[in-house]
Amino acid sequence: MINLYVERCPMSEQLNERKEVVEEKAMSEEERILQALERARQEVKPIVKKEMEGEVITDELLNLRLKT
Amino acid sequence: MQSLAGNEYPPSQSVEVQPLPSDFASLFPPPPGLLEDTWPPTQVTYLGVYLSSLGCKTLVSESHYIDRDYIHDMALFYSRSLRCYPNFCQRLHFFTEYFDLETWKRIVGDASSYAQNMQFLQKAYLGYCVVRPLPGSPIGRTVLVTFGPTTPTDTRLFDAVRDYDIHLGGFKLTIRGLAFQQQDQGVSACATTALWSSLNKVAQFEALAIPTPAEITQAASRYLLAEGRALPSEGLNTNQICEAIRGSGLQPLVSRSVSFDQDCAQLHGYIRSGLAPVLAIQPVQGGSAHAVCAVGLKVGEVAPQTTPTLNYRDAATSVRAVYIHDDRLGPYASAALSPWTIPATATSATKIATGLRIQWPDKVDAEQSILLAVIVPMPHKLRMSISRVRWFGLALAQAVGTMFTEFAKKVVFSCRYRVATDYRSEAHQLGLTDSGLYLLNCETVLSRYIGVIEFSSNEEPLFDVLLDATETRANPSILAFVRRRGFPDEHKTSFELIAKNCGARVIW
Repeated sequence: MINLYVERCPMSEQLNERKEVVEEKAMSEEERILQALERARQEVKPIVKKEMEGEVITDELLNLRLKT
Repeated sequence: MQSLAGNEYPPSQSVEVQPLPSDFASLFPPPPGLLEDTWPPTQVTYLGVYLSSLGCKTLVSESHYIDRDYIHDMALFYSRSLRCYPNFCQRLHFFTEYFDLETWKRIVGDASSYAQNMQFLQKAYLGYCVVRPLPGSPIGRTVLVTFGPTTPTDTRLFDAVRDYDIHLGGFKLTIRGLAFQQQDQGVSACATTALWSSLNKVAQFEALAIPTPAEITQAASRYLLAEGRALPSEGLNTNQICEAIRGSGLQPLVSRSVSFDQDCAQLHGYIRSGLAPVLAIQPVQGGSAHAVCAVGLKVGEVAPQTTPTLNYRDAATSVRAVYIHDDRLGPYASAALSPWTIPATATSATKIATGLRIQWPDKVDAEQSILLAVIVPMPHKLRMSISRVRWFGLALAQAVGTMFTEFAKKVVFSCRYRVATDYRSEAHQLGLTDSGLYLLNCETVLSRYIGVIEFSSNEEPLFDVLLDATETRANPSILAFVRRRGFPDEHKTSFELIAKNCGARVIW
């Protein structure tokens, strides 16, 4: 059966090669980075939410006539 | 007997050369009859002021010029008027060097010095203005050079301009700018001309034909006729602008104004990407809403981070003003940006909007408007909005500022789109290793348009994050982390781990 969900991400092969380089000690570093990324994502969430509000388009805006 | 008035064939052409008059408006005598507006039009006054500030000294005029945009307007609208409108225009060319008709004749006639003369003309060339035979709205397609790159305090960035080839006297000259024209109120109102300027730039990304104002108005009103008649044009609504954008082979992205910071971020992202957005603005003095085309930015220092919990700086905070093509005014008009308080009403709370302060050459008081929306014509394959690119940028910048103490509150992120081939062609300047450069240019697949998040500290580039701009919101889309000169070697492992956790390739 063909597995359609095989990871085809271009970075996967390279990352597999780097497994030798990233030793056990780095695993804790990886956890630290994972946590930092997740924390950062949460910290900027309110800003992102505000910015995404701009993509919600109202009928009033769509019908706004520009004619000066 | 049949009259041949106005029907001379073959038409004759004459070229005149004269110094730029101190009163530029004297070149545009008032048309006979009672005019609704004052004469000269503000656009003519503005053009005179702008040319003087560029150091224009000489004007070369061609008496017979067929302009693609005007002749379409003519075919659609003016040809069925009582007045016999000619189908040709005049064209004025502007130069920074003094020369007269005799010198011009020598320049054109001296075959032995062709290359030298072309170099002389190119160096002095400032652009051109098509003068339409429309009595009340003479300023047709006008392409002029922009202001210089710096002001005493700030930097000007004109990313939404392009090169135009001009043929004059057997010479091919090039000018970098963006086409502007005055609305004629027959075929086009402000929205049509703003969109026309915008499409002059964006259509080039996809090698699309640039629609004329007549084609834009027709496309806008083909399915949606919001009120009244299509011609004479009485303006377009946002829906119609979107329809005209779709009709030109692009996709409209509409972003509503939410806050000053968000608006600056949108303007910074889209204009720095070379997309010229149409801005819907509302004068605070009242009256109808208006459309202008944003061409460039005036930027200053990036603001320091003031929120204690955040560890990055946002390059969009450097935006001070936006340069606009305002068809009531002229090309590259400066609109200073600032927060503008809209007082509370019975139905809404106090709101901080984005104010645009536009200085007119013939008015003492600047006009104050507020930004309502940004409408961007986008290539089909550019699906990711700048807000979403910024989502990654904000999170990564916060993470970098937190993880690496030397970058805390110093790391600056900046978001924009690039054409992947352009990014690759400049990759040799990024400071990559030989294998990194090979990996980027030969072993990495990039989408046609990529989102690029540039990270820097103290103006030293640290790394770029490349996003697949064809992706939708639901899927991961970071393609690669590209190291730049300023990123320290000792953090290589951390860099690789960040990239790994983002599902991205490392290019070092």
